[in-house]
Amino acid sequence: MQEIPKDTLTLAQQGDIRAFEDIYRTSSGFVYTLALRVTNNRQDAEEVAQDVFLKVYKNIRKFRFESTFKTWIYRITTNTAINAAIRRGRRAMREIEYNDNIQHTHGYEPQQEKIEKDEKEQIIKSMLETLNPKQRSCLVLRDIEGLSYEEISRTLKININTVRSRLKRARESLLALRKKGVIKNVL
Amino acid sequence: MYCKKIHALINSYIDGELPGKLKEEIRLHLESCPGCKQLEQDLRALVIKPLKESSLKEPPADLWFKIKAAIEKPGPLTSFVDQIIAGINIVFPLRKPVLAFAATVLITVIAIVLAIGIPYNSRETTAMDLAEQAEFIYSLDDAASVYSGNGFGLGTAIEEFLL
Ligand SMILES: [Zn+2]
Repeated sequence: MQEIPKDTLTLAQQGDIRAFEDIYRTSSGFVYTLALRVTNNRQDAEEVAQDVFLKVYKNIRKFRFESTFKTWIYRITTNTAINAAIRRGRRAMREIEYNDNIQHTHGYEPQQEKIEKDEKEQIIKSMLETLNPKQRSCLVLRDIEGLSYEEISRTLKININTVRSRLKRARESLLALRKKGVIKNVL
Repeated sequence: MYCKKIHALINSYIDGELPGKLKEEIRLHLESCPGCKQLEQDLRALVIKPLKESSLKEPPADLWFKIKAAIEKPGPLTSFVDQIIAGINIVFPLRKPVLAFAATVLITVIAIVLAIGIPYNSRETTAMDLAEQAEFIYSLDDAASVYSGNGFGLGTAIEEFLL
């Protein structure tokens, strides 16, 4: 995610709704993706994203530019998403399936391409389902959002060695599952 | 024996998160050890690649309007304060609005402190940590059986190795 210009943040801090909308337009995809991958549930992700932007709106005056805005909003998102995932719990998590391709694909798409996309999406979902929300946060911040270990450590407020070991464990367990064929290998 | 150290560091290596000297040491080992090279390739192809290639998802188009509507409608706190002011005016018809306001602020602050002070989800968090540890032990066992017959590197191996 691109950093938000300081002027925009300052305007938003003064209550300028258009500046806040700019912040939303720049960051909503990143916030929603992070929320979706940590909760692994589309309904929850939408609620989390809404909650995150309301929290940002209410608390933006307290943002002191000590951390980057990106770290700040990712932190609010992971905390909100982890809590949502914990609340839902494993049982309910299986009940509601999401399929992003239906909702977010625009226009015509060749059938073969769509099938491949669906399979890839299913693999990601199955992979993340085997991890707990804290492991998911770490993995998603690294491999999907592209944060460095240092940035993850600041976002999650955990030691950098905890980032190392949490990522290591998450990836090892995913690899073991994929090698056993628990998660279909189509790629 | 050396391969165990490589296993402990391979993820940091792939992520470019190791100091130069260590990075070079691992690169050289990977050139000469088919087992570790395979592990690197598997991690990249089966775990990291699908995640990296997954596209950014956009929230539903109407989300912004929901957020905007929630911002623009009078917040629950405002109406709560209004209600308290109304209540105070009924119970203590204070002549000075300043006093009524001060009393309102005091009551609101107490209400907020009470609301925030209750750690309503701390029990869930503890359960989560325990679950994470259990899962970790399970995953170690799992990963170990895939890549080495005995004693896979523990989570602390990296810290020890780097110190
Ligand atoms: Zn080796």
